[in-house]
Amino acid sequence: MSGYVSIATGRTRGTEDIDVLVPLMSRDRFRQMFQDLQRAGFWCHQGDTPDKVFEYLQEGVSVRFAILDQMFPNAELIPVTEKRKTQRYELQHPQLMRIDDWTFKAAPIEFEILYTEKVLCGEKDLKDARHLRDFFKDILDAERFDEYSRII
Amino acid sequence: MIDYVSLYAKRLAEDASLFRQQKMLIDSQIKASRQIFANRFGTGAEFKRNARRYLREMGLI
Repeated sequence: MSGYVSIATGRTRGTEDIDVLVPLMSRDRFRQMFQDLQRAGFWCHQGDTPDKVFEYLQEGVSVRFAILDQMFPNAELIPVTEKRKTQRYELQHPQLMRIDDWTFKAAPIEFEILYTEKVLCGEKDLKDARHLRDFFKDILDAERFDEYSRII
Repeated sequence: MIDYVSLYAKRLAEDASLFRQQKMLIDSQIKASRQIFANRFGTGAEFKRNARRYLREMGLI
């Protein structure tokens, strides 16, 4: 959720989407989630039927949901398969973040920073990492940077 | 040269009221995007039909 964390903490740039890591799930579980999202007023770029959209996830392909009658921003659901080792680590070691009454899970800040600097590496990404380093400078943990460097 | 990213991050950490500007920026982006795509694709079922056609043409689905 790299971009989302920096924007949620004040980084002044736009974004088209939010990356959401999702574990592999059963067809029934996905159908339930799909229908819940439809009821909540979202539409899926890939289709209107959960069974058809589930096939994308089974092949490891992301699917996107947006608010009805809107394209952006949208939530990109990224299925975390065995091959995606870094995302699997993120999913299994979340950090809880809270903004007012909104709570969500993201990778630890140190992990976000390193992933952005070492893997994403674009100009925008490096600025995001710099923002996170400065904003969270009082709580960043050097030991965590060492630990995550080995993983990433 | 001033690093505006660092400067703004440090100011935000000190003064949470600056988030108001951030929210205004994001809200204006969402509003503009909504209008652009409503003009282009319509609403409801028509929106989805036109949006998916566009996404297919762009190779995004």
